[in-house]
Amino acid sequence: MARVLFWSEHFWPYIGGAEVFAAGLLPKLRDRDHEFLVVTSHAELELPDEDDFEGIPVRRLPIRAALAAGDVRALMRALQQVVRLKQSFAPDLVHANGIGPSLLLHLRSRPDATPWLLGVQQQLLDSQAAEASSLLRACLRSASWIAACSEAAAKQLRSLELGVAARSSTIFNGVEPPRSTPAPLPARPTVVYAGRLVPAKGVDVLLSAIARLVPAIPGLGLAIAGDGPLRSSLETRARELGIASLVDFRGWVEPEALPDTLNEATVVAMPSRQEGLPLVAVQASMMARSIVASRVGGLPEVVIDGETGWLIEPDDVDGLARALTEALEDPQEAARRGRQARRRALREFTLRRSVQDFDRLYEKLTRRNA
Amino acid sequence: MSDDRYASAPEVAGEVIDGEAIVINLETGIYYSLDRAGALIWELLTSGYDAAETAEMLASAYGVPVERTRDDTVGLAGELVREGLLLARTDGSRDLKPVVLAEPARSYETPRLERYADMGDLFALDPPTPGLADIPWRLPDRSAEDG
Repeated sequence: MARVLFWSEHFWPYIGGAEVFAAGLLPKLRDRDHEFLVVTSHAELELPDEDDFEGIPVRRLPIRAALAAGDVRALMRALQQVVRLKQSFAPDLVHANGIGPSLLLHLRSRPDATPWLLGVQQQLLDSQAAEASSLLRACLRSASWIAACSEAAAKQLRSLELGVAARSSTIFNGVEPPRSTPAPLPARPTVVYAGRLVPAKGVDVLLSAIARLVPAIPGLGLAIAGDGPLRSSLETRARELGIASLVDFRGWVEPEALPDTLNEATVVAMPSRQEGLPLVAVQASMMARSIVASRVGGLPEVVIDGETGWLIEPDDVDGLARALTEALEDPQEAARRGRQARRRALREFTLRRSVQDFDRLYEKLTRRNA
Repeated sequence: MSDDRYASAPEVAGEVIDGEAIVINLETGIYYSLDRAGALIWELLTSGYDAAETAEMLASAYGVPVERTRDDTVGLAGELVREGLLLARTDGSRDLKPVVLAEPARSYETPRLERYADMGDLFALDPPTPGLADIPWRLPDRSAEDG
């Protein structure tokens, strides 16, 4: 029904939450007769310029490389490519999947009449909120509609820019219910973390909390599924804390295998400092895992304290250690909260619901333009 | 002051293509954009034309009174200097670079300098992700639910 240019900072095979969500969303929307062209960056991987994702054409431009290097010539060449792609594809709508620096080229190449939808996938940094002249604010002023991934993100954006309230809504990041069946909690007390190893995720806090648990929880293990720029410093930290032998740094776990990794958990830890609406929290809930999570971004919308998990303050090593101890010393309570988490996730955070919401929004935005 | 001449500051990289200018202050990491008349003013000032010449060429290209383009040129040049993107030239030498004035696609509008001071934060929100190249990629099974 609509020709949609899907603008994504990263796209498959990158597997942050926004990318995994998009990889699930687009084929489902295509099945509802929307036609897509994905425009993205190569970023760090060696990937072809022209690609195909489940029958959806993908065009990769060297945008992030040019931005990272401050190479204005390469940036302008990429801008010309964007202009040509927009002219040839003639989208009814541009859907930006998250706020990233490459949106500069979308803004500078925007034919005035084409509506565009900004999907906000992250909680903003305080410094971003404070900055008066920014790409973020230019996007918020220019976007035809803003779909935030959580109520917390929507609230933050509405407080930032006058006018956002009248043209914004919340569409949760949903996931497909996994085929793997939730397993009973393991005999060995095991904490699982899954996600990128970046400062915003607070894995350093998790290591400190685990070190405090060691004397009280015999046989304790921590599985870290994911990779990122902090990996080697976190491995060093685990050695310094004397817990290297019980921490398993597994690197990236492919998305297909994530439900089985989550099945290994007595409890899942998400001690983030910033979050949008993390898919891992939804996936862990669907695997009937209780979660110890920070009270940041959209996490409190997935994790209900006392019902589906434990909420703690970010950077609170003591609080995290206490909550993990409660979960590990009382696995029956952890299992009870996990079952409630699964029921809630299957009700509130399904991909089907996200697809319906975006389908309706596409129709509304393109009808307005017709 | 309209005969002032300028050069782009040494730590600044700017490029104009198809009536669109992007300028980066590599020292601060702040990005800027200018379009239409603003891009042309940037191109002319950084090609050695003084503010009066720039205003005249702009007026001629857009068919508007030079008084208007002069005010806009002086105003924008001042803003670019304040942002550290242009430096006033004090030497007497002239090294003019040719600038081709294309037919403007749109009517004249007062130029606006857009400033993007959050590019570093936007990168920080989404940093590089090493280690992905080693994964034997498979898509998640999404047949469990009908869309």
